[in-house]
Amino acid sequence: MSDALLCVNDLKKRFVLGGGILGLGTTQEVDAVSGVSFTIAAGETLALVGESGCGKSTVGRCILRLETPTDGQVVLDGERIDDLSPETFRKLRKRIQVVFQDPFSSLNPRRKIRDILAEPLRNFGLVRTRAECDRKVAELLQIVGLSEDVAHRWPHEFSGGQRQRIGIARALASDPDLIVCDEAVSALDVSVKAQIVNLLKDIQKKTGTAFLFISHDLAIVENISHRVAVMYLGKLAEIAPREAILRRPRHPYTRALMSAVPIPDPAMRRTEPLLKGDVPSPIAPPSGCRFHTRCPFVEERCRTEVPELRPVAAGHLAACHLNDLADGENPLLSAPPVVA
Amino acid sequence: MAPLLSITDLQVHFRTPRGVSRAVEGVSFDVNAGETLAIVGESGSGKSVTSMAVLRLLPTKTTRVSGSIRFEDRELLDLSEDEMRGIRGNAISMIFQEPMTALNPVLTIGSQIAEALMLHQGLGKRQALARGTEMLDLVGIPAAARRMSDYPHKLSGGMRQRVMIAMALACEPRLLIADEPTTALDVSIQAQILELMRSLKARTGAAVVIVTHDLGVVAEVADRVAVMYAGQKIEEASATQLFARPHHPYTSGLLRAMPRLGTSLHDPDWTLASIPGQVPSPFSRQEGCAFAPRCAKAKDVCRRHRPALRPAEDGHSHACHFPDNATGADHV
Ligand SMILES: Nc1ncnc2c1ncn2[C@@H]1O[C@H](COP(=O)(O)OP(=O)(O)O)[C@@H](O)[C@H]1O
Ligand SMILES: Nc1ncnc2c1ncn2[C@@H]1O[C@H](COP(=O)(O)OP(=O)(O)O)[C@@H](O)[C@H]1O
Ligand code: SF4
Ligand SMILES: [Mg+2]
Ligand SMILES: [Mg+2]
Repeated sequence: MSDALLCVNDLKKRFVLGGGILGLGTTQEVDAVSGVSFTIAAGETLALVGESGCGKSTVGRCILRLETPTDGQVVLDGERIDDLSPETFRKLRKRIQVVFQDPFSSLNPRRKIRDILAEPLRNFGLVRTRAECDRKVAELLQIVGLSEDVAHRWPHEFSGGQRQRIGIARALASDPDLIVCDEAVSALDVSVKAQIVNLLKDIQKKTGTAFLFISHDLAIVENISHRVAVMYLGKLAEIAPREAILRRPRHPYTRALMSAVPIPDPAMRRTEPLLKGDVPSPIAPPSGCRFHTRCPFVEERCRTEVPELRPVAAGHLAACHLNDLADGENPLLSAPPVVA
Repeated sequence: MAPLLSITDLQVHFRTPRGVSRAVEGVSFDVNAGETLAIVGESGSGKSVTSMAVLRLLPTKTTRVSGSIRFEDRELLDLSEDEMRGIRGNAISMIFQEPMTALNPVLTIGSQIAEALMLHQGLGKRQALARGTEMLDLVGIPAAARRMSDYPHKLSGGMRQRVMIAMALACEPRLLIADEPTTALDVSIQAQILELMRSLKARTGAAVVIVTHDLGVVAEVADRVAVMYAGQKIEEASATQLFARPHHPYTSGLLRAMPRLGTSLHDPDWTLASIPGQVPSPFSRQEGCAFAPRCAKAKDVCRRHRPALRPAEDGHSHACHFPDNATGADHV
């Protein structure tokens, strides 16, 4: 896609575990990410969802160059950034920023808020004078809904939600094109979570920043994303515009994930059968379709043949053999909708 | 019938280097035999402290507990430490958010379950191990006999939580306290564990107190709900009543802030409702209603007089001067 801001092509990341010094002892390999591709357009929010350990953070960290991909490409505005030298990448760093989950460990406790925000402003050469810096800090605080006097206080004086606002202000300092939000609201209380989600949406409207919104929480994802990518054991199961995913998921895992979200209504009971068992170990993922050990629709070929991620409708890709069936025979199309 | 557990005017204050933390400020509720009561509220509202107080698990040196906690006609606050040991893990047991904090990493699953059975039920070792295997099987652990000789770290988070539930239920408690039992788990595993808790409750008849910050979990399992805010119970009702007609503006706000999957299909521009501000500090409890600084309906009286908890129709009580959805709201 030519209008993509970010393009991730067949990204792979393998971790080698154990082995000890000199490579003695046994080593194991984890394919944390095994061939993930997607694009993000300017000003768009792509959500990356899936259960813990499926590789979401590793994808985000590869984009941010906090991990070096084993294979594949990360392309920003038509230019590969995964193979740049650290020095060259540093110049691009201001265009991609990050907000992490834990607002308590991500702010340096020994620096005042002003200094935390001034750091990226100075590092990226965005301000020249002290007065300019102060003005910019005040502006950033205002964008995230904090008052100016916050600048002279310490991180420990703030609640989780306020710290997350500061983390967002820091990410916004360099006016980035893309912010990777890795479980950025997951640790917050319900009432505060909503504040931060709404803040991110407002910021996007004003600044046109794109988000990669990594989350395990589909209900929150629905509120913030334009498109949704669902990951299972290092691979994409499905990717589609939000509405298409909600109306007619084309992968059984997406269905299962949606129906496991608790319904906040005591009068409603789920009708969809529950997913059985645990996520298998990524060290030895199942053959064929990685979801076949838990899939309620599993067929013989699922155990041996890897389903490719391929188009099932406009802008909608899924990796499930069921989509090879004629529409009338595809149970994913005839099953009752998970949400109505 | 008298309630199984009756908590009256429970107060828990901690002495800390930063001053006195008023974690729980006069909470009362009953739990009847066989029912599931959910205690719901945001972090720091005093849910865990309340449940730890029941089992007397709070640090004795720095904690001041007052009020009354009656369990089957015994005042737990008056029992000796020895008598409490006979109750914990026996008549009342507890499961926690992170099972690893409660499991001993150097003992096998089997020896940990067996220990409790030998201590409380007076079973011999062989009987205890057999019963332990049965329990693991009951909570849906595959190849239970083999798992008995595993160490906790070999299990996934969901499996560990199943082991905790097996251990907690081994001695057939009359009351099970579950503090955020699914918070650390993925949704697909959470759904399994909640289903397990429902089916076990139906089988064993144990009463359950489930502590959670998640109204979705409440809707899935609770018969009755107590909502806590800043160390106080601000509303209590049957689960059905609470979700259909919340009285306290905080409860209403929480319900509105809860995303429901599929809402965007009806309203693509929908935004989540949020509650402005944040939870007050336990070190500076102010006069009046603790929620007043965040409440859209707050008037002068709210800031000056703390609303008392008042019962409305069928056991639906609330502590608010200007309740939502209430007939005959009081006029101050
Ligand atoms: N630095 C690392 N070394 C070894 N394994 C790792 C490392 N980081 C992640 N992993 C493994 O990679 C897999 C994916 O992890 P992660 O990307 O953190 O998943 P998610 O964010 O979806 O929970 C997991 O099995 C995890 O244990
Ligand atoms: N042992 C302790 N010493 C001092 N303060 C404590 C202790 N345990 C809990 N608190 C404080 O009591 C308040 C209520 O905590 P808690 O019951 O854990 O809240 P939650 O509703 O999230 O379970 C919090 O402000 C907490 O910091
Ligand atoms: S490919 Fe087969 S096992 Fe995989 S999700 Fe589709 S039906 Fe299920
Ligand atoms: Mg992660
Ligand atoms: Mg707690």
